[in-house]
Amino acid sequence: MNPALTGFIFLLLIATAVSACLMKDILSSVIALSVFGVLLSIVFSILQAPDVALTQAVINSGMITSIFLVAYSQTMKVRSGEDNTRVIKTYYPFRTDEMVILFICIGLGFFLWKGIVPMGFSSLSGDAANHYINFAGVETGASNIVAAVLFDYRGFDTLGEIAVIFTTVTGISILFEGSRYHRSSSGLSFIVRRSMAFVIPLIILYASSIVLMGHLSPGGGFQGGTVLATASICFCVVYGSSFEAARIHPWIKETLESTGCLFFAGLGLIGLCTGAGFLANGAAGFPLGTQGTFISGGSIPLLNMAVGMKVGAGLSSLFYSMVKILEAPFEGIPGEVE
Amino acid sequence: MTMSSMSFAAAIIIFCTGFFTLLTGRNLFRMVIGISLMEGALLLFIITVGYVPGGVPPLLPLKGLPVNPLPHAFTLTTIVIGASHIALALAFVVRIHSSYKTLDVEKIRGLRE
Repeated sequence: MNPALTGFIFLLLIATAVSACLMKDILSSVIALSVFGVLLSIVFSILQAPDVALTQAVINSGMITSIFLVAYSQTMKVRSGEDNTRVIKTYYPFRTDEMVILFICIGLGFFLWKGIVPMGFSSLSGDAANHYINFAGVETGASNIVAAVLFDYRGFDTLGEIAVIFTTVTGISILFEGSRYHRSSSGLSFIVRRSMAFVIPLIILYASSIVLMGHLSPGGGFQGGTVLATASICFCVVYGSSFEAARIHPWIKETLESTGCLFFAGLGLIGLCTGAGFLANGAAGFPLGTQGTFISGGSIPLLNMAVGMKVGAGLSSLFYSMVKILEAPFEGIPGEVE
Repeated sequence: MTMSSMSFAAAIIIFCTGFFTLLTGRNLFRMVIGISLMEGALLLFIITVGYVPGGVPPLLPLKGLPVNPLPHAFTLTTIVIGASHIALALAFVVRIHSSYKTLDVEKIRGLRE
């Protein structure tokens, strides 16, 4: 790739990060953060990491921005007796303590750079990576080496990481316990609603293709699940916040999420029962198939489906927990009581 | 400058920007934005460690020297988990706002004096 263009993209990346830091309005900062995430995904694809680029793109455009905006709108509701003054930051000129922190940060960056230079900017390649590159096709039957590492060689790590998502969803549900769904937006116009009805099936088709082809091409359960969650966020934006709550009971999402987790653990236990070890793939008797065809990779497509269910339902219920309005315990909200 | 050195430099600058945002921000949202920036810088750093100049993506069949797939597997899950952590942080922000009626760190009772 053209070095000048690459340098320009890196400069843009730094510029958006600095503007996310310095912009006076929080909303502008959030949008700058969103642009930063999309630029970061472009950088990942330049660095030959298509899986990571896809994940970063869907997470940033779909999840993080919308969660920020929901939290922002929840805190900006005007209620009586509330300090609703925006904290507007003026960075010019810097205060004294900010100057001290600025110098600390510059010093931190300097010493980090001093720590990187002895590495010689050479890539780290150990025996593990060489083994994965040389034998992943034979041992797992998957074409996507990253998927093979995620769901076969390091499947136990992945189980732990989807457990982290479960913990987060639990935490947010506890924090918003007792709050209720509230019609905070009535949706967009008729034209947008009808167009969205055509687009939503395509989004869901795209998500399922990402999940099901995860062992062949960049993608997998994490990315596809996030796209599914994005589709349910579209419901909230386009059809109003009470649309999905009325049609899809939270219980369904909980069941989907738990089923995904149990499915993952159950596939691992099959390996344990056959005596090959937890989350074993080919050794546990899963047919590996022909590498490069749709039916291949043994347990990897099944694990992808489990993770897709888990991540999709988890992130969706995470968003809808925050859409629920908080009940102020000590006062009625004028004009907002249903 | 090579690709790797540019990328490392960008990661360090963004990390320090995020750290500065986290330390100087008085608004709770600003602090969460700082954490998010630091996380992005860290992901960029880890991906760059596995980058091979002139490498190809780790997809079979390989058409050249592939980049290291191990950092990709690490960061892929980290991105999703980072998103849920940021959501948890924002949930705390909303909760704090409903209790204290302010987003200003210095006005929140119990954190000063």
